[in-house]
Amino acid sequence: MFKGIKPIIGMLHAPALPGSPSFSGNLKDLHEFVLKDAESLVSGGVDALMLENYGDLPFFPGKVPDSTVANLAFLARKVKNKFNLPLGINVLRNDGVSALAIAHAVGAQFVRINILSGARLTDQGIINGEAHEVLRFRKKIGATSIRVFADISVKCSAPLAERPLKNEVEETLQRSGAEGLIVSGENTGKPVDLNQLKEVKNLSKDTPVWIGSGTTAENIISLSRWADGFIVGSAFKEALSDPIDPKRVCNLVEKLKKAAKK
Amino acid sequence: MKVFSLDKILVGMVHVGALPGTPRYENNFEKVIAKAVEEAKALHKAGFGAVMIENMHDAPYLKEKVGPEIVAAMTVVGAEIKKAISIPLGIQILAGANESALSVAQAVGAEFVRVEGFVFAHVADEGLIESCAGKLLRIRRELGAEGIKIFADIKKKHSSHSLTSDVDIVETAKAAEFFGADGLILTGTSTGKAADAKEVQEVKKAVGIPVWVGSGVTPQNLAQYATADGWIVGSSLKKQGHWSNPLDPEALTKMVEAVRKAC
Repeated sequence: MFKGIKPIIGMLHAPALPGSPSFSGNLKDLHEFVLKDAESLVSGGVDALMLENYGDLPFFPGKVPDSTVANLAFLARKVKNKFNLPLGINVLRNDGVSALAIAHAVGAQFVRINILSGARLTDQGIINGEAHEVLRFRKKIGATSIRVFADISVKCSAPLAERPLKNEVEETLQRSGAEGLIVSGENTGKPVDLNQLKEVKNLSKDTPVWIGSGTTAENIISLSRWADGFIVGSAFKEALSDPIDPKRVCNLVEKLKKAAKK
Repeated sequence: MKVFSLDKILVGMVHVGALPGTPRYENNFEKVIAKAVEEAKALHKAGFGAVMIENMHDAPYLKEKVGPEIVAAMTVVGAEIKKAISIPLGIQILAGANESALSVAQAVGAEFVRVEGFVFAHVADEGLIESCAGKLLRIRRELGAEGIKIFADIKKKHSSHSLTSDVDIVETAKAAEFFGADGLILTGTSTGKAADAKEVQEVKKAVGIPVWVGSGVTPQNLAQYATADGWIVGSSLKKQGHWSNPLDPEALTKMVEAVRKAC
């Protein structure tokens, strides 16, 4: 699906959508903001894009309203029509069903699901894994070619009951059907724990392991020893609500390319 | 939000092919999109004043709440049509999924929605449908989507109205206007069946908002409904006059000519 050997997925953080407390009231500007970010990511050389309703704070723990689905679908289709790169959808905080619905309608290739298996205590309350619904829904709508990437011990959450990482990884892969694993740090922008990354990589065998937070131009080389790819958002911006800085994108992409040549 | 004239508008229906997750879905969504866009362009080119999309092939319909797969699919169909035409677009999501339709309309920049079950209650083929006006207008405001016009069916087709047999069509119309409908739609008993021309005139006299005819309009009978502010046409544009058949280009031209003659 991805061109690069260690692909970089650039995050498209959608500003607050209609119905959200911080919605600006101007959809046209919002569309332009996201398209401009996509342009910056693509010109900087990322291998794929992922759209996320990051501005919709505070997030719904599960099901999002129709309005969120419609607005994300509209944005995703615009991005898909304009840029010929693989596209992913993440509907925060954990609406994997809506993410798949959007991905299928717009022709996107993958979804990220924060809590696919098990249960975690998050800033939205207790969230239960929804693999049973996600995979049935994917089959029902005829979207089985869309890949499901799942977080392991996702950022901004704590385990309800600590269990061995080995069990978590194996269950997420074998019993919950994840086709990619994502390792993240404590929260958005925070680096991953290197030991945890190594352990997940050893357990995941052939399933790709992605870094889901805290990748920077400084640490990408050392992470690339263990990670199969990177999902990058914060490092491409000065502040989280800023537009993406194409220079930062270039910088990080070049670092990885140079290291790969060696 | 673009303002469009509500005076004498001919609205052409695009009956979108079966969507993902529904019993008749054919596993090729891009094909569904392409067909809908093609039909919308044909309507625009023929001189129609607006296009409305509806998930007509999703039968049997869910009652009032559809899944995100329908919301996302209708959004993409609406967005692609909006790019292809420059006349107003309306959204309807069956059955009575009015909040979903409004959400899609806002996302794609559509101008209006068609809403079932706006006031009172009726028994539709999906079961009991109750008034949605209170909730819908609050959601419209919450979303900042007040620019989207709500066209409400009253005593709509495919339904039993024995529950409101002591409330006549004029009273129903007045109630819908009081509840904030931007326009009303009158229909016959089912898709393709003509509305009662006398009722259209009575309602038109009783309310200050536009009144559209929403079923059974043909080039032959359009003159009967000349007092109406708009006509929504679907079945009569299709080959053999049946909604599920492909568009008949000749029928499109005839319909536009009939409107020009009547106005």
